[in-house]
Amino acid sequence: MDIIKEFFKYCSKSLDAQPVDGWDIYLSEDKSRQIACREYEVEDYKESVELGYSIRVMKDHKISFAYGNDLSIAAVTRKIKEVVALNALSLKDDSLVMPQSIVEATQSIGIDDSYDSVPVKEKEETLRKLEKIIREADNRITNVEHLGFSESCGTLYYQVKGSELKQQSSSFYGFEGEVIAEADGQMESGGGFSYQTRLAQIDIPKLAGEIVENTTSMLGSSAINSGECKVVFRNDVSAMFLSTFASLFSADQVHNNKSVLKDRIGEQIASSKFNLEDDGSIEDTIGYYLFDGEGVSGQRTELINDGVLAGYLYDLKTAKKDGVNPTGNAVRGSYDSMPSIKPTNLIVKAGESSLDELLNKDRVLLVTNVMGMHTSNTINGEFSVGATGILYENGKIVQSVKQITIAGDFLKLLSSVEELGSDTDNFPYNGNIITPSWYIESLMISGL
Amino acid sequence: MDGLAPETVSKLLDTLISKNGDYSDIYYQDEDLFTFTIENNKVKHLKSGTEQGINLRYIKGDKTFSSSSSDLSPESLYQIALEIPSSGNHIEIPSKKIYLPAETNVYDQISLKDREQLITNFIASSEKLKKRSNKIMQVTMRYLNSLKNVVTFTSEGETFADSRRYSRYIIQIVAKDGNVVQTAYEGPGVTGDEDVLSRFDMDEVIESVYARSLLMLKAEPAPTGKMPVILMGEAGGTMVHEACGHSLEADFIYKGTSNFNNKIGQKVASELVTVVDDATVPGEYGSYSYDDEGVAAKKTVLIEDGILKGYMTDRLSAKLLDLELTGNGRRESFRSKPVPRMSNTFIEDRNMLAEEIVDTVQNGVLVKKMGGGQVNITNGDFVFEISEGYKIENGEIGNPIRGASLIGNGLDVLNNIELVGNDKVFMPGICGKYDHVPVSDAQPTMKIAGLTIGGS
Repeated sequence: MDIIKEFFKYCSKSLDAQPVDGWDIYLSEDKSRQIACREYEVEDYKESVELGYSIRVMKDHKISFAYGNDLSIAAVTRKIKEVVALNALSLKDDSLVMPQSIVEATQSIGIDDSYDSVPVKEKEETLRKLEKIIREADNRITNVEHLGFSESCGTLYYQVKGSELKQQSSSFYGFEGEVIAEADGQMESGGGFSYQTRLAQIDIPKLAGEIVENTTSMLGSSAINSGECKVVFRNDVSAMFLSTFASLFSADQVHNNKSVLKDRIGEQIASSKFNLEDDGSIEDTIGYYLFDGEGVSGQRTELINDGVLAGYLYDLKTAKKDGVNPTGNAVRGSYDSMPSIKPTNLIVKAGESSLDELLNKDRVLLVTNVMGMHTSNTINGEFSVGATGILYENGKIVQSVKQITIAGDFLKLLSSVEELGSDTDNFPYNGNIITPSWYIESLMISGL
Repeated sequence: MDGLAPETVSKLLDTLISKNGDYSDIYYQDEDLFTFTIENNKVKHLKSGTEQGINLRYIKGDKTFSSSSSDLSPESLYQIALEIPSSGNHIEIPSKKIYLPAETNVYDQISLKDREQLITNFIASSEKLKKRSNKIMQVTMRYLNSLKNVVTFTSEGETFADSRRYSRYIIQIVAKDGNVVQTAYEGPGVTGDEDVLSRFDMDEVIESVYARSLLMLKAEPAPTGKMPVILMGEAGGTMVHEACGHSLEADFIYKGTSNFNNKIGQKVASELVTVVDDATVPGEYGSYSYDDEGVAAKKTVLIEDGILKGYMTDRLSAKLLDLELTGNGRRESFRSKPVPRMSNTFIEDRNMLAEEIVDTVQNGVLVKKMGGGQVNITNGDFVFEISEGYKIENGEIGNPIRGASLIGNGLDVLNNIELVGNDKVFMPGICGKYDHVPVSDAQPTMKIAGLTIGGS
């Protein structure tokens, strides 16, 4: 787009004329579409185009930040004046680092252009197909509350002082559903989703099956007695836990005394079966970065090796402090956010056992959903969350369970992971989490 | 706003009307934000920014078609209006309506000099606080001043504008003793002319967070099981917002997914319970003059003496359910469509004193400060964390408890409220139903006959 090139030309020239030591300009351009269907008709249709930018400047070991979405010369001129003025109020810190360059690399795989190439009517038709499969699968499904399709395509543009303008593109497609099931006077809601970088990767019949199963399985549910229990976290629940506690691995949280993982590199913090890594270099995944919000390439970083804490996630500043290389985890959520350390693709190494094998114990609770995960203590790892699930004895379903809480400590939880499933899937929480189900030897459950 | 010329508004609305809908509107919104965080006595996340955008929509029956854009040029807006799918035959009715320019920009953003002074003051308070105890590991202080202008132009030819100022600060302390780490937090917020720092003295707020952080270090694991629970007035109204309010939003009623469906006129709560949503309470964090689709804010009684009286509506749900407009059509920004959302939601005061209520419990839990929570709208099941709670043993308030949560069901709780006090306190918050809107909630001290406590 010419208007974007013009903006960068004007903005970079103006910033070069300012009395500053360094600067960067980040701009994102996105288009997105969301379609919601109910009773086979489009209920909500939404399109949006969005373009916004942010500028950082560095002077005398201070970095300031300002954002805007008006690309007119007058507005950009005001914004530059504002960000330079704010610099005086900013933190002076010798450890602050401004990127000097952007990694020399290009995307080898093009993004999926189904946004434009697949007609909207066809996407609406897929939603109807999803609804039909769900409704016909089980007559206890009494209401399809929400069926949605969303897609977006975007390009990030980035330039730092002294560098060329670089860009990277991404695409994102997803279907989701929430339905109501009723039987014997009990009403339960449930749902499911699949988000991928390519439209064709979404398996509609499989998703429909998950939505139906997640909902109908909760009919007839009740609480169980309090006590220690063997537990399996289904892969989506494992992903929710990992996404909630991922910040423990952020070097910034560690430096700020906001992580129990401080000073524990080389220590056994998890079961020896547990391996965790972050990998932003895998193209065609939701967590892929050609370069992060500071121009560093997406890459693989070991976090837990056979249960031993192997490393943290770094941006430029924290890497300099610890004398290590940055790991490409300076993520910008959108143009109005400063880069901060976030996972890209957070990956738990899969085990050998199928979910059925994990559940083949004398008595084990399969946790299928948790509520209130965001109330967890992301500094010390403590959690106490509401849960629903299914109780198994010797591989057979005994009852579905609700109105219980599970409570504990994230590191103790990782240490009690006795087996990992082979049922790896990806969940777009806090970047992208790729994990199988986890079998946990013992967890405290509060119920009746 | 200097964005939309009246002729652009007319032309855009004509285009929307031609798509054969029942109602159309244009929503303009801008924001000027200044915020900073002080962490370990240092300024971090100093952030300043502006954004603006437009949302175009039309409604047909229960269906909504919309498009949003951050590009305000008339050509680009006209283009996205044309691209919105039609709902039937093209209709051509030149509106000939004259849209009045909107009065906005009532508030000015803080000057550079005042920003500097604020940061200096915050750093001084943070330094003082950090020195008070070697158990304090981390002090985080955040300040936010957001100015928002919203304008709605309707297909009926009306223009409604609202200029809003949100000011808020947050104090968070992480305290550590041995292996025990505890977090305490307080975040007062106001809207309108008054500044948050003049209404809520920072020294007093700091004192309360400081005391709680040290107290919670001595907390014991919570008892578990079902027991009487006292929610103090100062705990705020998270429970009424989450476990009751959401189920009274009319979009859930229309979809038939609320547990309050078809219950108007029925007894749904203890007769001591009156639940109100009121966006006109002066200065509270959920207050406004017009909602985000141009409907005047008002006070709505939802439950009166235990009887269900009404729901909170937006234009769409009010029309579909033939209900009154209550001015609850809210959205975070031009990016989304409005949906029924709460504003300031509370349980009305009754006559008892908090101490009298506390005296009635022999064994149970007293909650002085609620944390976050989550609710399942369909069946009303909820879970909330307790940030500050105490055991009540043999009629005495005992040790603080940690890692505890409340789990239960909204309707059950409403019916199990045995006593209601006279000391409600509004607490600001951010509601995340679809997107994020500022809200507040309140309740007086209440006794709930039995509620499950989950512990660690």
